[in-house]
Amino acid sequence: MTAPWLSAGLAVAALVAAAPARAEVSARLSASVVEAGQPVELVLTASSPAGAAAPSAPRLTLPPSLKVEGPRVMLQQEVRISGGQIERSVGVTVRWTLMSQVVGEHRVGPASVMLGARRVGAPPLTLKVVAAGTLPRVPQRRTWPLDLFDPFAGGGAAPRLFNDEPERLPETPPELRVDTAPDPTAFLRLTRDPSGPLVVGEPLRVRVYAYGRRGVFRILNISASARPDFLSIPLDDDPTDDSLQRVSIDGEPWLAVALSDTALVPLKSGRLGLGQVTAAFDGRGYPARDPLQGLLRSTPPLEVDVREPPLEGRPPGYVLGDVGSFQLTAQVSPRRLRRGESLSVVAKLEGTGNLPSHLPLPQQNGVVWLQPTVAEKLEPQDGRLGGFRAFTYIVRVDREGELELGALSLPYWDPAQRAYRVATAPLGRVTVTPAANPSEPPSGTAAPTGAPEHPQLRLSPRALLGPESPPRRYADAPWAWLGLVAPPLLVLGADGLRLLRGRLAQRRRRRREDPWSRALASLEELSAASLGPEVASAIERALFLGLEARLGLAARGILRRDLHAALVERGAPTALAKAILTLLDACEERRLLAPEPAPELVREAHRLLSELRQLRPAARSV
Amino acid sequence: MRSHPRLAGLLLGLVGLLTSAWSRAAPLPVEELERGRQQLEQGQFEQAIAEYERLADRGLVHPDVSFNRAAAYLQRASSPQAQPGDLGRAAAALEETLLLRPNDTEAGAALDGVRRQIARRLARSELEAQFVRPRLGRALVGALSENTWLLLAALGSLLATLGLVLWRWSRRSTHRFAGGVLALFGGLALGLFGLATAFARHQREHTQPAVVVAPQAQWLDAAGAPLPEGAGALGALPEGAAVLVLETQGSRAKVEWGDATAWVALTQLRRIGLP
Repeated sequence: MTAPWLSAGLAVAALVAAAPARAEVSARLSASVVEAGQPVELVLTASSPAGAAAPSAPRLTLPPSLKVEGPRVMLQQEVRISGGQIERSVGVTVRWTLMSQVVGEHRVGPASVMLGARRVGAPPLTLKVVAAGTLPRVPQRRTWPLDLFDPFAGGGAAPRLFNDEPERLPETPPELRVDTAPDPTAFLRLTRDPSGPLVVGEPLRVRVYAYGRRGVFRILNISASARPDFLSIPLDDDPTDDSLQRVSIDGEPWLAVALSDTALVPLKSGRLGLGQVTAAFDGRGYPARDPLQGLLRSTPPLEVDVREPPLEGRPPGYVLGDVGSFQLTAQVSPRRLRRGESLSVVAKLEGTGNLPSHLPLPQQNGVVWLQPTVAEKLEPQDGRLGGFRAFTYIVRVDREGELELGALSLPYWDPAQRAYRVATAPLGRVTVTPAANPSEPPSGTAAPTGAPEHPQLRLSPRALLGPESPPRRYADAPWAWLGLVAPPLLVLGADGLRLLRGRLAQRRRRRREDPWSRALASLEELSAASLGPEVASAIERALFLGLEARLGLAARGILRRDLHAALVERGAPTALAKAILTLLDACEERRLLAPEPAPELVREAHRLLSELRQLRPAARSV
Repeated sequence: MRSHPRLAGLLLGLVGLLTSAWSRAAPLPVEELERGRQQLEQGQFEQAIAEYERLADRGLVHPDVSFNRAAAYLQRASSPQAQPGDLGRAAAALEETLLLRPNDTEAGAALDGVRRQIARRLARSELEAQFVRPRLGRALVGALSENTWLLLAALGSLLATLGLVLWRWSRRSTHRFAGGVLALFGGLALGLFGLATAFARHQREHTQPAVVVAPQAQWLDAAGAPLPEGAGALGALPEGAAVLVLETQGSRAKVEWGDATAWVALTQLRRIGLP
């Protein structure tokens, strides 16, 4: 009996899961029957799916018998976490105030908004208007927003806020108590709880109140700046249902009302901005530059410090953001089934904090958990976000025997205890008997949602082979590059050195054989003590070798009287030629007549040879 | 050495220090690894994934751990709890295994299987699977490992050295001719393979391999705005595509995929890290 029921359930679940996200538009009237002249409110709510454009351009189609005031538009942003992905959607709540003096049934609507390029409307509604005084009277509570046509609720006297005689004000509710007013006319106030630093996932309750000093007011529009770092969960479905309350601020009478009550769950660590909330006050005592826009007031920008829970002691499987105080229970049924059939596991997670949107599951071979259906109720509990989430799983079992299902366990951080906790719900054992006909595939599992898509892709886990050092990258080592280029460079260097040495040796050899060098060398060998004939011969030899080397002139074979002309002809300056002749004559004289040392001749020979060296070498004479 | 005992001791100490520093590896967290493996064998892939990812966050890089991480993601991809990008994450883990142990044939075969699976999925989604070839230079350099290029360059250096020795010092003309030819080709080999080694090293130092772990990664411009369809020669990056991260800027990465270069969101990539 279980299997067909489960099959149907699976099919429905598959259809629900496969259905694409659609825009949601709905409308309602605050009362379906009213007296003539009594206002009634039409509320249209519309939300666009994640990633789509925000609803815009609200429109209401009405018969001429109905008078309308509005619309008043309030933007809402919703953030969901699904499968680890953050999805944001944007919605609007649009309000019109209607009134009719014509008794009868009136068709109201359709009310519609633009969603992207198309207009989506809610079904039309019917408003019944009866004669004045025919409906039974009920004690009227001052509602918010105040009726446009009857701000003092039923035409009674205006509130005695500004009577000449000071009225004894009722005691101010603690959440509305303010010591000083930041603005003499109207202001918004934002409160946060807790006030200290948070951890990622710890809900922050943010409430916004409006205060006005110049009589009754209504709020035309409320808008909040984007809070991309927070998951926003509204805690009050319709905070504008709250009525104005009289409060005393610094001895002065004020009116105050709660505008919004939201839980913000931080999605990351750091200093995160809460953004600003802006509201437009409308009323006779609240003059605005633009009457349609109202008197604008904003909350001051606030930031909160968000940290990650400590790494120390973090249990395996902990998911950042699971913060609160939770209890987990689970029910399994049936406990006895056939192989291939399915059982249901209903897990209920309750408590306060950021209830996770999914639970870690105890996987094992032969046990397939399908996507759960989730029911939830989140509301403030003692000033904190709380409630429950119930996860209903269909679990297909493909193994026989006594099967221990394990336990559902959720590690979380408890900010009150400042410690990690694990909420656990044991699932117990089930008895799985063989299938009715083993040759047939398991009943009810023909195409379960999310059935294995790639059964052939399965890897067997490896036992670790021990530490493995990282791969060596030899190119990172300088010696590797040195080793590449050094051997050929060394060979080339050695060859170059060999060549250099050969050239040097050759140069030395040439130098030794060069007549000029030999002449200079012989001159260098002379000392100051050398005797005249020896000096004269060396000087003559050096001069003749120098003249041959520089001017290409074999001077030894030229007559002394022709030598001057020959030198000048070969390019020697006249003075130099004359000095050379003079030195040669002096050498000859000294060789024959004065055997004593002649250092002055050596000095003169050096000077003349230096001058000869300055000359451009001439072609060698043949 | 006998005459310089201090120098010998100093050299031996230096060699020992270098050897120990080279081969030192962080101790493996054996208990966590064994727990992850057992969870995997028991089909508890969610816990195994959490275990392996935590180890990866702690900087543990090991080819077998990457392989087991791939196995965990593949198990989840084959289960009703499959998450978008599981096959891409498995491909990334297998790429990491192959990067750390290039001769791991099992990982190579598994990676081929994952890629085929992704291609089939794309075909079912009526999306065209695109096969891209890397740039010619990268393909040539990537044909061999960096160490192989270096070895070839060393061989070229050796040949060039021998050729030079023969060319310059041999007295026989045939030997000198052979030496000249050897030196020429050895020098060319040294230059080419040395350049390939340097390019491979530069690529390793200045780029990082990564794998797309989202069903599709949208190309972005430098400012982070999505590029219009058809703006480039290629469509969106498919899951499992292996890319090279050239640079990162905030939450974006400049990647090269085939001949295309553009930006993608970092969250859609998994960078493959070496220790």
